[in-house]
Amino acid sequence: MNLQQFLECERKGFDRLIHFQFSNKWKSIGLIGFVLVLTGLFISKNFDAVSQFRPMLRALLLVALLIVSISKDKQEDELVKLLRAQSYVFSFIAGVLYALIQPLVTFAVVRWLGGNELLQPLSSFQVLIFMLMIQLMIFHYLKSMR
Amino acid sequence: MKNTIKVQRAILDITQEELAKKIGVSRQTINSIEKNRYIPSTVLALKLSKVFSRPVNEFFELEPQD
Repeated sequence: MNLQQFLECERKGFDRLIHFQFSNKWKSIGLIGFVLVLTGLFISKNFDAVSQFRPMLRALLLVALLIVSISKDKQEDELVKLLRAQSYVFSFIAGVLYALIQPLVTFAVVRWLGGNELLQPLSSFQVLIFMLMIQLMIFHYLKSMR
Repeated sequence: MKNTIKVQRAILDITQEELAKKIGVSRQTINSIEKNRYIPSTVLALKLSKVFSRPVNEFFELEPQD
């Protein structure tokens, strides 16, 4: 394999990777998973016996939302692909701004209320769940505006 | 860019849904194109050209700001 063939093979592999999507049936699976995991998280909040599963449930919640996010629509045409790409751009920017601003807002409010809490950065879970939720909301909003 | 997709569709006497089926997109995509909210790709424009049996520049036209 010469360099040209190697680069072509790399390009094709990368192309497949960036265009990867689950089929439409995975959207329902992801949604059902999301509801089940969310229920599990509420239960674990009230029962100490299962609270040790909370980190795993949080990770599963992200996986469920990711599946919903990368599953195809019933009719995934080029406009839907464009709207999906736009929603990812928006959610990425919103996520970075949220990670930068939210700790400052929390810090300012706590100080204003008389607390003396130090500046706490957000957890990766908070940022990722925010980005995924924003992506899904913006995507559905853009689709409804077609 | 402006277009006369709606006129061409009326000539063929087909609905947005029917045109969408012919070129493999959703009805909403046809609606967005007709309302100039979305400029289709070259592939989609050529598919429309095939359905209307007309060259692309007969139903898509550049505007001064393009």
